[in-house]
Amino acid sequence: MEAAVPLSLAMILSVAIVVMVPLGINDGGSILEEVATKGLLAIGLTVVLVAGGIDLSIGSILGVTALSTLILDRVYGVPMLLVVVLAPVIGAAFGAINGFLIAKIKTRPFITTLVTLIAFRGVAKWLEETYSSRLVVPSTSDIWYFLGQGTIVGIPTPTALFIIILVIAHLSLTRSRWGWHLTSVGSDRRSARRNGINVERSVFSAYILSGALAGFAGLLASARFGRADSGVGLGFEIIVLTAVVLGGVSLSGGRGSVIRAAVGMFVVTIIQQATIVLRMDNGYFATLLAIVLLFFAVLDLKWGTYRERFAAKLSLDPGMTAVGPLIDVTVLDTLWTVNGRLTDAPPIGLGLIEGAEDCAIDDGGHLYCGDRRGWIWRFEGPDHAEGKVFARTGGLPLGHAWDLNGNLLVAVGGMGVQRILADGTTELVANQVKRSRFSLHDDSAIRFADDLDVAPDGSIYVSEFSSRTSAAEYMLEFVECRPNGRLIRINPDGSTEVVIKNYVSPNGVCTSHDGQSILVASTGLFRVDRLWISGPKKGQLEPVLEDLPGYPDNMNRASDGNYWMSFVAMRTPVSDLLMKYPAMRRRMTKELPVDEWFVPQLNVSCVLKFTDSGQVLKVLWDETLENYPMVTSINEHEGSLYLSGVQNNRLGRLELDPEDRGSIDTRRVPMTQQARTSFSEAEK
Amino acid sequence: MKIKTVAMIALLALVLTGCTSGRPDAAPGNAAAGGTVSLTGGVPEVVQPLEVRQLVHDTMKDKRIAFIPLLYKGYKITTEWGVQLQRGFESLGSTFTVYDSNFDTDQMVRIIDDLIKSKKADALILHNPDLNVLTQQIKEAQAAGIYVVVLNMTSNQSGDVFIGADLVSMAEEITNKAAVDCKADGKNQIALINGPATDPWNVLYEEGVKTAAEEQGLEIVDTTDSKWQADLASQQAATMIERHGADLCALMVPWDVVALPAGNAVKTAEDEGRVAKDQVGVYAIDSSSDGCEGISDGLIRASIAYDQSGIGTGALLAVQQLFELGNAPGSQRSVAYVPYVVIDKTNMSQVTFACYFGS
Amino acid sequence: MNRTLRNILEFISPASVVRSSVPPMDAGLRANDLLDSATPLLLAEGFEPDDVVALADGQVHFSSGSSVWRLNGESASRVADLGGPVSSMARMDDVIIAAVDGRGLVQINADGTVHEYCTDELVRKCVTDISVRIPGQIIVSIGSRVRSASGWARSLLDGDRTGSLVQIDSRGARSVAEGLGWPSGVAFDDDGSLLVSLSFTYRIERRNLSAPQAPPTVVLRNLPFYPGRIRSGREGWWVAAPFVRNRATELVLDEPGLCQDLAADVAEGEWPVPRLRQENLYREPMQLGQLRVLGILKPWAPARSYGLVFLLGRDGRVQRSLHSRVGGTRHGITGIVEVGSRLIVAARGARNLLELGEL
Repeated sequence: MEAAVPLSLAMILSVAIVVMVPLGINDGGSILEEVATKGLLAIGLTVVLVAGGIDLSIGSILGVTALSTLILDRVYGVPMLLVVVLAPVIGAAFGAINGFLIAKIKTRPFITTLVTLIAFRGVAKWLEETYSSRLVVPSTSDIWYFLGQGTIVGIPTPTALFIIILVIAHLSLTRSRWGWHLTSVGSDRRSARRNGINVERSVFSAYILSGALAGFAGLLASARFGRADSGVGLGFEIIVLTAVVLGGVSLSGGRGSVIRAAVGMFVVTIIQQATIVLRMDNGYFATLLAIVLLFFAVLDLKWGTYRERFAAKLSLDPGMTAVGPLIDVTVLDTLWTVNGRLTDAPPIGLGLIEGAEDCAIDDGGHLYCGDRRGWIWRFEGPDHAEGKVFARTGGLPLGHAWDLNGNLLVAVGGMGVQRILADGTTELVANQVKRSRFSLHDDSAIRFADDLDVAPDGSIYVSEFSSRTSAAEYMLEFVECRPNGRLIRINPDGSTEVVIKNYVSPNGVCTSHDGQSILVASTGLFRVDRLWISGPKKGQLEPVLEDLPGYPDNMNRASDGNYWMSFVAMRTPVSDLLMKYPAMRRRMTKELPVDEWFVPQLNVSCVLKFTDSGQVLKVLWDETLENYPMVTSINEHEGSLYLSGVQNNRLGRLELDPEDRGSIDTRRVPMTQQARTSFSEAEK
Repeated sequence: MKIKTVAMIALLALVLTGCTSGRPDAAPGNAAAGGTVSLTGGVPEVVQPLEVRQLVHDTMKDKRIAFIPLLYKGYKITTEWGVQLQRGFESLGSTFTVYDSNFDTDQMVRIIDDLIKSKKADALILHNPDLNVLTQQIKEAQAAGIYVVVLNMTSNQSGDVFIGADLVSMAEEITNKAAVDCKADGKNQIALINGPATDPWNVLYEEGVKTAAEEQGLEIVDTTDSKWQADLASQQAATMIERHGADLCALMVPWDVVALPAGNAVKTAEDEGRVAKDQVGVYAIDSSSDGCEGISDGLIRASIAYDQSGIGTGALLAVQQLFELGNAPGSQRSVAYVPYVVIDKTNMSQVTFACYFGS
Repeated sequence: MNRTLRNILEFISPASVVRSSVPPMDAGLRANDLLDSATPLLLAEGFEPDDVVALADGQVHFSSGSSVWRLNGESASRVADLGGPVSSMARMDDVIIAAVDGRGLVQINADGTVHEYCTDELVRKCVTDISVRIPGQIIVSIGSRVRSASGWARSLLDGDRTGSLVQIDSRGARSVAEGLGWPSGVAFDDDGSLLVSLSFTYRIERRNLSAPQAPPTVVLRNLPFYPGRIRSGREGWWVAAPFVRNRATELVLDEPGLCQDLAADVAEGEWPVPRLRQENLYREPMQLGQLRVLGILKPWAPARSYGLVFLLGRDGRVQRSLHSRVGGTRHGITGIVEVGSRLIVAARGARNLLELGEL
């Protein structure tokens, strides 16, 4: 998309001209004619530029071929249909000379085509001197009229032919193997050669094509002008080069499309038509063109250097968010007051695990958790002292859940949703959704699957934190805070559907205890919402918790009918204030390195329990931050609360107070007669 | 597969039926538009003098005439025409505009295309650089109801009126003059410094010179194409002197603008002793004030002056007639030639239309 | 220059735009953990030593709150309660000159009696440092005319440049320099020139008091921290740096709207500016580099508080420095004194006095 910038500048230029200069509909015809002739040259030049070369001799090839067609027709009486076929062949022959010198002899394209520009023009002059006296008699063939002034289904012949050739060229360049080879050669010759692409043949073919197109353009020029002197096509190469650079085709190769070159050609022709309409001297046009070429060539150079940085800068667009009141958690003796209830939870896997975002326990008491290196660990119950790598996901494993058959479902950042079978093999559940129709950005991949849970009918609800960032760059979403996320349902047959679109960073997903709704936590808006999946309110979203003092992360069911949730970060007065300053946040991302960005307080260890109706029951912290500085997920199982942290090197296991223990098996999908809840049962 | 081929053939047939060759049929054309009184068929049989004047003014009022020469500013030949046209049309209330292409054929074609398509002119006055290049434009203009007057350089496609000079006869006459001088010197070799091969001036001039040369027993030893550029003409003249030195007696150049540098080259060669003095004479066609200076300086020995201001006035008259008669453009075509005479040092100041100023 | 214009100019010609930056701490300022391993002197609680002096007998006195204390074993005994926040202290022969907010300069004798030394309006508020040239001639740095000594953060946010230097001698108190950016430390050189550390412009410069119009020479410029008090030692001057520069802070300061909102809506302790210590994790802003990964807070994370004291040699270069990095506890160094071969440092952020031996 970043190539759109120079092109849009060119379009603005042409719109400005059309507005300022009294160009009318009648000029459209002239413009189309002009574009048709030079447009073929532009296509040829684009192909050569994309292949990493340059062809300055296109004007001369056009001139020679134009003269040759007249000579063949009037002097030698060659039948016109044959002449029509021979014109591109003659052009291709001249192009082959270029190709041979550049591809085989390996001379530099610029100097070679500069020399052939002069040489071919000399051939044209020789032809003129030898034959022009015999060209006096005009030609009467119908084919000349057809090519010059005829129409195909109402469109003038040259324009129709140009459009057909443009479409073919575009499809070839972008969709065919030849076109891919050409583009690879242009962007990195050495890599292309190492990958087995025949570089010489590609480059050779580019010059032949350029020559053939120039030859055909010469035929059309003869049909249109009928000039029998050698000056046909003089100076065309500069005009076409300007047009092509305007269209965003890079002079350094590997980037460009013929459609854009055609648009650039339109812009240049509009400028030319404006100079005619304004009755400006031809010299003005040449000077204007030179200035425009200089500007766009510099832009192309600078753009190429800073392209990635600009693309990155353009892509982050922080939004302004209104935040509610902030609860002060340092005030003593409130529900939220910071405490040290989590501090002493004994660690599991200390020093083994690196970054387990979530965990799951099976019936046998074995503990499974993720690892930022893409692994799933398994710790043998009941004491979880021994651990080994159980499965390898190939991505960043995040949320865990048990499916109806007792296999472990893992939301893997970068890969989608995977299912881990009893023997440790992984299989893909889903990684694609239908692309949203009006989005420029291709959001059909599930890039950042965060948390998931299973509904009673067996469908899986998975949250995608953001369709614009990847799991490794989650902090960008903190800064951007826009509705880039969505909730996706994976049906039992494997098809996917986006059930909530444009949600602000959905994170925790939890099926409610009655199986009739899905709770979704929005990290960026500090709230928890409920999506009804059955009953009278099916499909509606309603709030459960609002104005939380922190950024909610994963959610899971508690055994007494409530829910546990953790905070990945706490709101601070400054982070709240910055929500009102998107320009400042954008400036921050542009001018400061990532380490220095202001973020909410991510060093926080906080877990809360809330009811179905949105009442917070208790809040547990590790105020020392020594052991569990960031808890991203809590799972309750048989009286213990397992603490996972995506930046931590351990899991924690906290003994629950007796008042918190209930009778519900938190791993079982609510309202189902689930046969088994974990694949350790399958082993039995 | 079969369905595919049938479909392709059907599509192709559809496309072909939609194709036209573009050769225009007899132009339906509309009568000359504009003006409050459309004089179709000319002036009435019996009419008062004041009425006549009013009729002319009414016809010509607000007509837009465009003159698109290949060269204009700085070239006396075309400015001479342009000046007459401007004076005439402006006094009649018409709008006269000159579009200077500055020797760029492509630009000229584009301007004419633009004028025709945007209907910005009611009459075009053209000056062809090439026999064929404006073929299509002339046709289209006439089909669009625009009169076409062609000056001095013919084209294969006829306009409504052509006004120029009988170049073949002029060429013959100047060659005869050269023959006289050559025979007096006892030499018979002449050379041509002509223009581009498809240039109408070139074609006719060469024809005339060849005919006269054959008759007179002169031998044409060299022909070059100066592309009407002064520097090329100068070089080519010098080369010819180099190559044919002692036997060359005349250089035939059909335009004074290129004859002068050729004459200078001869003079330089004479000064450098590569050729005998007064051996090689330069014979030109057309004589602006620069050309006459050249004659008096001895650079040009003789020239044929033809009535340039007459050509301009002729165009002025032709356009008025076309509008008054009101026939459809392209329906009736005619050609007219202006007078000419041989001039040299002896008589050039006495000929009215020689040594014109272009203003 | 408008920020957009500056960006465009930088795009066209990158070398022509200079952006302010925080230089790395290198060479003499290379980071270490020496302050973390220093010996704490006060083991009792409740103190917050701000400035420290030592009398001739080696007795260490420090200011904390509104009183001046004398170090007594592992605790301290009160010498005098001065009735207002003590913002600086200096030793003059056998007495201590202390600046008290709201009162002026007072003199504390060896026996503990207190009298007014100078109650001029100029020195009643925000005295950041005192330096004695000869007994009876004192230079005092005033951080700001509109704030008290504890208003450093607010002045930083406001872009306050109302700091001044005041000279007090037999004739009274008069200002010798105005419009400075929070001068936070003064010390006399042997030749009578004055070293001044300017906090808001992160530099240490040398002024010649006898020629106050002459521009000061810069000794150290563009420091990566906000320099504080200067005390002379045997090999040069010890400079305390209570706050370390943070690029994100400077970005915030560049946004006037944001600064106004901060001043209005957010408590001072929660501002994104450097502090002496981290008090409230849950209310203070965090920067991404301060994230604990695998349990570790990296020492080179962006610092909200930092401990730094360094020796400025007589050649004008940093000889050595002592740090307490991010994650350490000995932050917010506000005062230093050299006692024999030991260095006593007042770490206000750590609420303690630290001793480093074997210099």
